Amino acid sequence: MSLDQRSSSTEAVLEVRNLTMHYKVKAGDVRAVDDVSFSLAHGEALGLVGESGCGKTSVAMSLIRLLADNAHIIDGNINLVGTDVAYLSDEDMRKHRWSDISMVFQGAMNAWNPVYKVGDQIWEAMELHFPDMQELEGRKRIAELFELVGLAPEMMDRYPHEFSGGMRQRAIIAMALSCDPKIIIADEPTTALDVIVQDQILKELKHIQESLGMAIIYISHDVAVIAEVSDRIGVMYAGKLVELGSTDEVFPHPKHPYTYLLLASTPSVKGPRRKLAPLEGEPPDLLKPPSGCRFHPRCPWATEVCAKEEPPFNEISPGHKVACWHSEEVPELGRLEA
Amino acid sequence: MTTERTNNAPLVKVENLQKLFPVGRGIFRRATQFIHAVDDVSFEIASGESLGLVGESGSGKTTTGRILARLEKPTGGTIGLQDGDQMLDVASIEKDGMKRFRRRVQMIFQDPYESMNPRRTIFDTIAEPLQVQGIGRLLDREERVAELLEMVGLTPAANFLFRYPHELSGGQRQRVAIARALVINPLFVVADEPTSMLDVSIRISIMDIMLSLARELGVSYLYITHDLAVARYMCDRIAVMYLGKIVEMALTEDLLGNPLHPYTRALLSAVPVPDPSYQRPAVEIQGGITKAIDPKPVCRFLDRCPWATDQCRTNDHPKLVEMEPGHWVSCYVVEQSH
Repeated sequence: MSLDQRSSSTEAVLEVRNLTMHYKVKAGDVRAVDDVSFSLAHGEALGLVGESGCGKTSVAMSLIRLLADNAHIIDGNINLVGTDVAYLSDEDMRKHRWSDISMVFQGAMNAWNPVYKVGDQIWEAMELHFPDMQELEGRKRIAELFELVGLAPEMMDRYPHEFSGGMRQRAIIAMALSCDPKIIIADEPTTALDVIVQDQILKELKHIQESLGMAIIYISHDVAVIAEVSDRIGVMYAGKLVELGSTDEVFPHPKHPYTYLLLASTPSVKGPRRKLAPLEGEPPDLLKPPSGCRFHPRCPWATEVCAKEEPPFNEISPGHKVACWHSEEVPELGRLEA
Repeated sequence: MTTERTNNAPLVKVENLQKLFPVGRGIFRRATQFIHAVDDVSFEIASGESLGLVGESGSGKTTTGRILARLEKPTGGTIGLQDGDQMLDVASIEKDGMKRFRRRVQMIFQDPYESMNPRRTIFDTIAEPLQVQGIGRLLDREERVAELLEMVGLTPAANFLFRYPHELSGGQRQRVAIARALVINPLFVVADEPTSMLDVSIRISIMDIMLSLARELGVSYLYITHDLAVARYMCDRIAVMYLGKIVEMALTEDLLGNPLHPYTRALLSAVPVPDPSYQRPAVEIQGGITKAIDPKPVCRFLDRCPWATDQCRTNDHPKLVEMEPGHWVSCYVVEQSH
């Protein structure tokens, strides 16, 4: 099944097939992730975008298997460097978490314990994974990681309040790197930061990805951030992956109406001052998602078939997949600047 | 998208505005240090104009907005508001004048979840300013509130009048907040990041509503945002703040097309662009914004400035000078080259 030519080679570090995850609540099942498939090549950067509640963080939490008690993987496989981790026991998963796949959580920079030194907190996490490591060796490793993320190694003996927001986030990234993961998931890594600091952090992550040959999954609501840091983009809507392709292809030629509207409603400081297209309505309730295509109630191109049948996730050009009955009608967006 | 700037007397005239916050004051301890949150800030807003106040967190933009809405009292400076043929002295308004002032000036806050009383219906929430000002009878108020609900796109109004905030989504709540701010026909509205907590797709419809209402009702905005792309969409002019000072102010397209101050240039080049083919210029400055605790009298941007000369190190913070028609900059180096 080589749907995705480029990354289904032996180089793939992650292969997600038909992943379906539900949250059980009193009122029923919240279908947060539904039949999501994608793969990630060694050293590749994939961006997942979508609005709050679209399931992007739920996908991430499924991959690293840190799910809430009421969350269940119903179907699908997660092939992580040769092992299907979707149904591993917690104990077996522990061997993979942080060392194969690690994560920078949204808002984690504000989760440092204020009364312990930052280096000690990283060491505490490392000790669990390297029980044989001596503290001196651990400190050497933390110093290296600090340098890698652009922090002075002396900072490891400082307390969190002595760090600025950007520095706290760098330290979080250092911690995520501490077990040499092959994949790192960065969930909104710069959302709370000012734009100049965001620029520094994104550059740092890109540098780390390139120099360590690590694969990164960026999760963001901001398509401009994804445009900058990702090789490929996956667009999620209401628990579904609706479009997947290289950023160079998807940004000028979106093929899903939701992607088109998301891009067309993003203001930019560059290019002509254009009228932006609003997206009417609200995302659906995932307890009872709409029939057929989940986007059809808000879609300007929707016809009868969209309400009846779910569109397949088809490859329309090499490496570019989309789930829409009317993808050929979606207009071009083009470049912002010639 | 933008309205013509009228040439009448300014609606709002801010001169030498200053706000100091004491640091480390206790019951038995007098403050010995002060944060200079807003320092010698002057600008004007014409009737019907929308001025964007842009800067990183800690730049003083929110404090400036809160002073203009008189949620804070300034430490120094004057604010004039043209009300009919009278000029209201906003800085010195005490209790008696506040009711009249509130009829002219309103504020929209960032967080639609925090800015509404959860026990009051949408009707009560929007009608509150009318009630406080003693405008109309109950039936008139109901009519007026319904009219506003239609204007902000919450239709049919009857479906929303007697619901509670928790029954609405974030985007709908922000529409209610806009309706509440505009229900008494104010002259001037301070909007503090009104869309930053909303999803991208909803953001545009909120911005469009604010723009069309500004045109219909002739209201002026002070639009506070950290996002230059949003400011570009919303504002006729933009003022860039750094550590309590306005460092550059110009018509929107002049500022973005020809940024003169080194900080504006850095800020602009740090904004990600939603086009993967676009190569941003390198950001010329390092580090992050600090706090203006009893700052030295020299240029506030000196520590991070890539252009700093001896003149900058030995002279006071440069004055805001009109370098090109309508384009104001506070920088010695720019002054020299013009």
